[in-house]
Order: sequence, then C-alpha cells, then structure tokens
Amino acid sequence: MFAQRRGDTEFVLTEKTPRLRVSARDFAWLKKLARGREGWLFILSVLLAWQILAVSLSGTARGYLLPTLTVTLAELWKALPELLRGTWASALILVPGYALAVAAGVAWGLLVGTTGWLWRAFVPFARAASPVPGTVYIPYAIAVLPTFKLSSIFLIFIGAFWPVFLNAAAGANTVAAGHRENAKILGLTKFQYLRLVALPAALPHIFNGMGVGLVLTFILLTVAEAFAVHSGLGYFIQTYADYANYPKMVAGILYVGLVTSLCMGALDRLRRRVIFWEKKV
Amino acid sequence: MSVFPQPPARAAVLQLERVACFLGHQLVLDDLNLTVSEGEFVALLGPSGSGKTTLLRLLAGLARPTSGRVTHRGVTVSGADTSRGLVFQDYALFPWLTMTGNLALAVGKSRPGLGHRQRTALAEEFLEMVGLPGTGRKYPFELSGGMRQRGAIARAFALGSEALLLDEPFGALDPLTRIALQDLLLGIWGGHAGKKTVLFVTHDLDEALYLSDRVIVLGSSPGRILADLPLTLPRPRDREAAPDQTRDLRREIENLFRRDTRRRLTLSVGADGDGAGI
Repeated sequence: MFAQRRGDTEFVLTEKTPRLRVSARDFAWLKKLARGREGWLFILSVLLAWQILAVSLSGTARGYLLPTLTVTLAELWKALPELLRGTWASALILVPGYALAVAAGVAWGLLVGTTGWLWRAFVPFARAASPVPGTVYIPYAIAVLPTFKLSSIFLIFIGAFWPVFLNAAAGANTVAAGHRENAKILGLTKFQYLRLVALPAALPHIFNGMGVGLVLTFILLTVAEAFAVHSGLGYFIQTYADYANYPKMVAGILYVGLVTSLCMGALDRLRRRVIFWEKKV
Repeated sequence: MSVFPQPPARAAVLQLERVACFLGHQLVLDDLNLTVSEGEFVALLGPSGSGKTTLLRLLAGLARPTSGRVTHRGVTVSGADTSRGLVFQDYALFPWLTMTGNLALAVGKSRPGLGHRQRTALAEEFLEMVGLPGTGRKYPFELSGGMRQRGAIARAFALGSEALLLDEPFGALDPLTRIALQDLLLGIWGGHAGKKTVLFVTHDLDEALYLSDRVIVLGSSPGRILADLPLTLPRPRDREAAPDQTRDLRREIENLFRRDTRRRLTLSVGADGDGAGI
C-alpha cells in the first residue's frame, strides 16, 4: 500500500523500508506465550467480561440477577461443604445410572449393529424414541419403580443410554470391510466377532456417545434430584434458583461446570488409554 | 479365448468353471476357466483392472460369481472358511491385538481344544518361523510394514488352510524387503510337509516368474485368461540366473500384455466413435 502510494515498487524491496504498519509478527511472543493455554485464557476473558458487566449493572434491578464474580466466589467458598456433600449425593445417582447406560448401550448397540434383522427392526424405533426428553418418563418411573431414588437413577440411565446405544450400533455397523473380511477368513464365531472385532472397532464411536451421554446426564441431574432425593448438585442449583438466591445459584453452576469438565477430561484420558492404537494405524 | 491347460495328474483343489462376475454394471471377469491342483504354486499376473483381486475373492468365498461355478475339492464355495486362507495387502492383523493375540486366534481355529497357554506357545513358534522371534507382545503398529507382512504370512500358515490365497502381499514393500519375504515364503512353502496349494496375485512379472510353477496371465476389461504358462525351472531357484532362464517366457508375456493393451485401446476408441455404451 505504502509502495503504491509512492509509485515506487522497488522502495518496498529495500531493507531500509521503514515499517509503518503493525504486523502479526510483532505479536509472535504473545502467541508463543498463549500456546497450550488457550482454554484457560478464554475462560479467564469470559470471567473478566462477566465481572465488568456485573459491576456496571450493580445497584440496578438487573444487577440482582447477575452477581459479581467476587461475590459468587465468596459464596462458592462458603457453600463448599454443602457442595461437596451434594457431589457425593449426586454420584450415588449418577454413577449407577451412567454405568448401567454404558453397559446396556454398548452390549445392545453392538448386537444391533452387527445383526441385520435387529438393525432393521430396532433402529427406526430408536431414532423415534431417542429424542423424547427423559423428563417425560418421570411420572411413569415413579409409578412403576419402588423408590424415588431408583426413579432418578432410571432418568439418568435413559439420558445416557440413547447416545451410547446409537453410537455403538453405528460403530459396529460400519466396521472397516477389511476387518470384517479378515474375521470371515478366520471363521470367527458371532461372540468372538463381537468381542474381538466389533467392540474394538466401534470404541471411537462408543467414546463419542459416552461424552454426549455424560453431558446429558448432568443436565438431567437437576430434574432427577429435584423430585426424588432432595440433595445433590442439581438440587442445590434448583433450590437456590427457586429462592432467588442468585449468588449461590451461580456458584453452584460454576461448581457443576468444574465437575463436568473434570469428568470429560477423565473420559478423554480413558479414551486415549483404551484406544491406544488410534492415530497410529 | 482362454487356453485350457492339460488336466494335471494331481488332484484338483480349486476350480473355476465358466465364471463371469459383475461388480455393479461392470463386467470384471468373463468366461473364466481355471483348475489349480494340489501343491501347485500358481501366480496370477495381470495389470490393474484385470480382476485379479476379484478372482481371489471368489475363491476365498468373499464374493459370489454372477454365473458359473467356483469349487473347492468339488464342493461349491458358498462362503469364507478356514480351509482357504487369504492374505491381504493390509488389514491382515487386528491393530488392537498383539502379534501373539492375532496368531493365537488363527491357531485356535486350526487346533480347537487347545488351552490359552498352548495357543500362545504355538503362536510364538509361528512367529519364529517367519523370523519374528520375541515380537509376540508387540502390536502391529509397532512393527515395520515388512514385519507386519511376515506376521500375516505366519497367520496364514497358523490357520492351517489347505490353500493359500495371497493378494499382492508384498505390493506395498520396498524392493529389498520384498526379496527377503519372497524367499521366506518359498522357504516355508517348500519346507512344509505336503506342500500347500498357493495362488499368488501380483502385477510384478519378476515376482511371478521367480515364485511360481505356473503363470496365469490375465488381460483386462473384462478380466480373462490370456495364457496359462507352465514354468519348469528347478527349485531352489537362482535369483541371479532367473532373468536369463526365463527370457523367452518373459518376452511372450510382455507381448501378450502389449497386444491386450492395443486391443483395449482400439475397443475404447471404437466405442467412442460409435457412441455405443460400455
């Protein structure tokens, strides 16, 4: 641009060209510093924006809905014992429900994904049934199951089951032709095929389904605990929302976000360990 | 026109009778007759598009002919089974199983009733046979391409199949590794009590001439047999002297391919001129 204005193209090529514009290279050190910390930097900037917005709104009616970061953190610290007890209570619902969903989803998914008539019979139904929100089943679960706690476990189960099942079935159904033919040459039995070929080949899909299922599980937790157990993380958030105690509610949301993110990180590490051959083949 | 070989004295193991095969709308193999007898090492030589792989898949039972009959010892082939082992160019080993795990699976099929420890021990023996001692606990991705193909050959022998079908097994290897593996294959095959029947698909003329008792030359579009040439060189063969010993045969095969290519080109030009279909 500079060169065009001067009408002298050679000017730009000489070493002594004065650098008038700021180039991306000037920020190379910043980029280097940020590398690997982008996730934290983004969260940090969100928190900063939150604090600025909350401070500017404080004193107004809307400011009441959005407590400042500092107030929230103080509440979080105060509520920590209660939240830790809630984590334990939630785990008692979450772990059995989620574990059952993964076990059933994987087993049934692999079977359906590798059996032609089962696929044709069950998958259209699954596609229709899976978008139904789990909360719809609450009255039926309460009516059928003996305890409230079992009902909320069932709700978690339903939430995580469909994504795990659909992904496991899709993964088992799309095993690479080479592996399938290899299994035929070896004369593997159906059970051997499921265990030694379909399961490992479908694992990347299964882990994707488990990730989606985990997120859905945390969403359902709020509802599941509200009607059944009167304790836990979801109950904590819902209660303080109902009492319009927004600092406590937001503190709860922060805490659940932290727990979810830790769980997802653990799932990711598990995935890398279990599917050790991924990205190497 | 296919050349019918004289019925050999040894028993026929694999047979194709008037086999034609369509893949989609494409005629891949047309009117193919072939008999492979016991203990023969047959090379299927042809350019890409000559239906070599399809032919092997028909014999393995992974594909069905559109018309004609594929038989193994007189019984129509209706699906894959362990009596015909197939070695792929890749995909021969499951990446999530160790080498021993992969081989033990094949050992378990050929010798049912063995315990886990015996299967593993036998698998180790097969690994040693192909020059891979001590790699049992490794995973396929930890080994080089040549070592993986050694493992694939070991697995084919561990399966105990009567007939071995090899689909360009050394196609992806560098020339030096390829030579080593050719000799390894011949060594195991020759040393085996009751030689296995081998069908070896390749597009490498030298490889076909060095390895086989008989070269089936395939032409393309559609795949059919151009010639069925017996090779009577004594074994073990001399890699150095082979080019001189097979000069006439080599020239004959090269001429066959040249004529086939010319025919195909005239055909396609003619088809374009007429505006006719495939």
